[in-house]
Amino acid sequence: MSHFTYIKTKFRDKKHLVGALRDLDYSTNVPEEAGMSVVDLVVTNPDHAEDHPIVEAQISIASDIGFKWNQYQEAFELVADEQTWDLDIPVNRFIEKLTQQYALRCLLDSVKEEGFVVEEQQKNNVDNSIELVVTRWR
Amino acid sequence: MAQQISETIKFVIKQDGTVTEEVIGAVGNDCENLTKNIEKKLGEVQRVEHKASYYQNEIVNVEQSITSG
Repeated sequence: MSHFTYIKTKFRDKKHLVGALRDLDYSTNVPEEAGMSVVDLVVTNPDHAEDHPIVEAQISIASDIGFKWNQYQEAFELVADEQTWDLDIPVNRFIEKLTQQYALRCLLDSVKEEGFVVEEQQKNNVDNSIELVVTRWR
Repeated sequence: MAQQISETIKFVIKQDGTVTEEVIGAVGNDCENLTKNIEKKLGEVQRVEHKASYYQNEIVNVEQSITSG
């Protein structure tokens, strides 16, 4: 039975999330790599710094931008202050680019594990999608 | 001797990170098992649509039986 499946990507795998951030050239701090469990994100927005708690995150890319594991969603969530957001692209575009890169890494890893060979990988410059064709024989 | 079967999957990762997965050439229930693992790692399955070719195959079979009958 042939079928199409539509998958909404979630940041479930820390290794691939860190890899995707580094692919996109973000300087990424992973406390686990230094033997610690979390990094403290400190809110730098002066308007409400006094009533904002410090957030413990497993990954950070700036002093107030990071990713925290949400056990209910079973996925990492972006933690950031939109008012002090100072990356080169808006927050929505950042999430999109990161999700696409994360999905590519996840797929390449998963299909290899399942014994597939990548036949084709190409970027569509019109809609910025990435096409990946994999095959296995049995 | 069993014939070798190729299983091909085409993934399209859209600009917003949503993934479309199209299974080409797998037969029977294997098709569902084949992709279960991949889907588990990647995220949440939003919906599954059967391809038009699945229904086309059924029509071809009917025509063949008429011809041979």
